[in-house]
Amino acid sequence: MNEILQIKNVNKNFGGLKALNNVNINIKKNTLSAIIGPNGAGKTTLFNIICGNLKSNTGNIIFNNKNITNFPTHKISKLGLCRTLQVKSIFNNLTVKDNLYIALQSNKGIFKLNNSPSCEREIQDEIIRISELLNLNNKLNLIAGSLSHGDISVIEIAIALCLKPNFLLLDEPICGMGPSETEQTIKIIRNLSKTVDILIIEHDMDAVFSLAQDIVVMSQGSVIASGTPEQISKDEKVISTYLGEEDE
Amino acid sequence: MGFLQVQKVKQILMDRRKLFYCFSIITVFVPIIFPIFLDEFWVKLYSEILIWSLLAASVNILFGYLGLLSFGQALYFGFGMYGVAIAITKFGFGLWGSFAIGVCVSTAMALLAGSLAVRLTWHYFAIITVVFSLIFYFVALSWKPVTGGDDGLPFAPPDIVNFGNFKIALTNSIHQYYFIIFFVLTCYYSILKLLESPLGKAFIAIKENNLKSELIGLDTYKIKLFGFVFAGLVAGIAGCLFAFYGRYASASYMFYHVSGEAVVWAIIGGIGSFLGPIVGTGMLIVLREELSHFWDHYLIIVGTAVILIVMFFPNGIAGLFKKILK
Repeated sequence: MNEILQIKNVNKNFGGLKALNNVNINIKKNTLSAIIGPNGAGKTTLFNIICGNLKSNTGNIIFNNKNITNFPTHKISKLGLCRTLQVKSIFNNLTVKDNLYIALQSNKGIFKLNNSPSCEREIQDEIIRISELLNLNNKLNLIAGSLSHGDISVIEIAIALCLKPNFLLLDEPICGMGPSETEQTIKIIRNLSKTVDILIIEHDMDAVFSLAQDIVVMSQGSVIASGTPEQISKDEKVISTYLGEEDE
Repeated sequence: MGFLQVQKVKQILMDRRKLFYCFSIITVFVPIIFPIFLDEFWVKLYSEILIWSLLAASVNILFGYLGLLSFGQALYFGFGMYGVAIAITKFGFGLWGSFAIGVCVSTAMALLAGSLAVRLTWHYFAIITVVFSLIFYFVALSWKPVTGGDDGLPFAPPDIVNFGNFKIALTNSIHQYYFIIFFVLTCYYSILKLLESPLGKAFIAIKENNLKSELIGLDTYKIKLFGFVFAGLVAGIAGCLFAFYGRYASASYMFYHVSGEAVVWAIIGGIGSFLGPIVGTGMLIVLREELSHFWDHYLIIVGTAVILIVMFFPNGIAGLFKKILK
């Protein structure tokens, strides 16, 4: 199978509101894919269903050939499918180092009294490796919640990396960032995509078209188009519902 | 005292392990130190404070480290008490057997209540803990043949050790004191070990951000349930010790106002602070003992003091000390 994630006939209703309407998406391995669409298109709802934060009414989620439909969130995370949230979510009152430590500890097991010295060393080495990779090494001892929005977004990605993911879902990773932070985060995502499969939701079209190899467009709970950035930029339905006509 | 000595004292006070060792040493020597300055009564009161502080510590485990505010810890305290009293009076168990039964029934009750309660959060969690507590309070009150109802269940405490002429008994106040502090200090050491373990770090993560904890692969239900049962075990041990101390069990100790008092002790001492429950419980029980001699309505003063502390020192007395030391 060439797909890392298959979303099959997924439906989700909130009372009378149809948030997802028979969604079918295949995400290929070794690609950086993106989901775009106007607000209320159902992108984050779809992420929530993939990660077990919400239960779908019907349909199946297949991850690495395993049916993970309605699995609990922590089990999905253990399978290597990790995500960041639209509203940045970290452990605000802990230091950056403790944020990474807890994520790494979660991977090594929680129900024990002590870590063995080798396990403790591995955790410390991983903290150094990941913080250097994401330029967080000089912020390790700072309280995470006191840092800038851009830094918090990077810490969230760092936490996800601590879980040794093989598939990363990034929900609006550059939302609310300034130009320099955006540029830095795009660079980080591009570098990560060499080793981890990534699916992002993003509204910044320049970022999406420069990063993604595959794009899925959603509108009002349905998939309206999918393909390469070139195909999407020329798709008439996408232009009329989301991208808009270019100025003459 | 020179600057270096001050720094050393500060370091000890800021390190909860060292602070625990200091507290343990002082506690061991209390029956020798206290009578030099005070009446014997204060040694007895100190052991009573330590027992009640375990109930506050069980609140602290849940609220301070897991973010779960329980108003039902008296239930497990009561189960510990009744476990001991019923085992002795109805089944003729000895001290250790009845102690084991008290601990087991309170832990089992915590497992039962916790398996439902930890699925909920905030006020829903608080309400369900009160509901459990109330149900069993009324059961204990009305099931007179077994629990003694309003009158409670008095009993003569069996000996701790009895080998012919060699006898260690609760009737000896010194033996009783060391019997109590052995279990109180063991409980506090277990809490310390838990907080320093990976599981303790998971507790903090869940309190900080439950959703994120799930996203990093923590089984928050299992971890919260473990915390709930452990807190129930600590409250149960406190109940067993208090039954031995008071020589009886009573439904009134299962009422939710006892749980509420434990919450106040924990908050005043410093929620999320390891030894905070001892400080809060000690302060309020001593205040009660002293003021009640002078004025029947002493609770007005206690209540005012509590309001002022909560308003001006939200991290409690322990939080205030930490602030000063920093």
